[in-house]
Amino acid sequence: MKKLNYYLTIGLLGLVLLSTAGLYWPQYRGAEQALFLEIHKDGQLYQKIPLSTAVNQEIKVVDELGHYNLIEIKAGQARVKQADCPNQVCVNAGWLNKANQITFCAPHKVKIKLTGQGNKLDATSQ
Amino acid sequence: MMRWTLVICFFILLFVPGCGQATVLQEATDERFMMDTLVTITVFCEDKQQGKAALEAAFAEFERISVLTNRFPQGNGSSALGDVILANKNSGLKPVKVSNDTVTILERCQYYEQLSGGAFDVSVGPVMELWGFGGSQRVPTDAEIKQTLDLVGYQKILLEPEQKTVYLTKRGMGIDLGSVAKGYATDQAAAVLKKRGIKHALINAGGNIYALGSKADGSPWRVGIQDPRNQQGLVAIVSVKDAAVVTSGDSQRYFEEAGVRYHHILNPATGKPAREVMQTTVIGASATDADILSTILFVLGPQRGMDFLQGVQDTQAILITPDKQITMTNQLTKQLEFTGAAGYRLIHDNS
Repeated sequence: MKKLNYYLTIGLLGLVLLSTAGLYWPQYRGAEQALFLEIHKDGQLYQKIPLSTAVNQEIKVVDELGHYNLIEIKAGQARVKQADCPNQVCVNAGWLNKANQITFCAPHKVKIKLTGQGNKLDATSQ
Repeated sequence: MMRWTLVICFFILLFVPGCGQATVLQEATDERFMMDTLVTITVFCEDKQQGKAALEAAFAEFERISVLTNRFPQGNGSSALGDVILANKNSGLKPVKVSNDTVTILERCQYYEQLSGGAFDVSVGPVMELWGFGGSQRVPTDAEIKQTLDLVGYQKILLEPEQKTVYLTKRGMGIDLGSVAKGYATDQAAAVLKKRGIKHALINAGGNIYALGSKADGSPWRVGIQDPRNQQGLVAIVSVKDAAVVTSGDSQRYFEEAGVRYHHILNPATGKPAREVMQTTVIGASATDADILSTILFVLGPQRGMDFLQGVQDTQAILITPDKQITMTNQLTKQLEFTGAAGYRLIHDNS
């Protein structure tokens, strides 16, 4: 009987520890994520690029009317280098180099965002 | 032995997040380009379908207010002209009938226009156009500005709330609700969410934030305040529940000419960009008021702005001057943490 109790105890403790680990595992995995650049056009994912391994390059996102946003990737950072939008908000945003940083071009419906491990903010007032 | 094991297991499970909660709230989030910005809404509720329906209703509010308040026809094929377009088109000709929402917005604007002595003025539209904000931007001559300022002045707007009419009394006048419309739409969207039983939500209308309730776990929402000279950096983080956080700054909509930055927040008295601060953030219960107040404080500057704020109830603010000095209201210290961003320093608290 004592032996049975012993095994039950070990089993129960193991079960609890396993389920706890299961809860934290996704967060741990999230922390391991590398930095990705996501380019969204009209609400759809247009391109996803791992920033840490990406070579320096420029990506031109052009809409059906010929309007464009030129996105530059350089040394693990990304920015909208040029755009022919009227307000230039996306260009003025500068370089993005941390997770959850975001900029967008409302006239062209283009958004660029960095994903990966980041700050625990819910939003930024700007 | 077994008894002790059960006790240990109980305590482990007690401290594992989620195990103590009766129900797990589902997150629903969506974003859309509207009102010349990106609007993102996140809700937490028990039923995902309920969350999605609430999101749709909230976005519908943004769309509705956007149509009413837009200065230019939207390219969505809709032939209906909004209230602002109609009022501007009929300036100097006749009063036009407008919606309840437009009356409410203009009444609130009128209140603050008078309170601020014209530091806030929605009739600044023709000067905005002269500078080309939203189009071909250029620095106008002083003579051009002086001539256009003749069309500016909130006293020249005749609002008849009973008749629901607005009349811009001089031909060529134009109202621009860019410094209030997003705030009002945010309040309307939040009201719709509440009506649908949503208790936890975050609305982000291009950096104008409204936090409905707390986060799903009961903790406050953490909202970053942008560094005005490094758009991807933060100067502070504010923790809020049931509050709007609205920032006006010179770092997003601007152009440079001969090394000088010309931004879109104009002083209605001079017709030129206000220069005393580079960013203001207002925290309060109403997103409409916070939106208007962030512009007023920007135009008034730190000294007059903080004096003005003493006459406004339950409102907190952070002002950042071009030499990176930060002024803020006293009560904010409880909910604000500074990031230590380079060069910024807190000069004094103001009650």
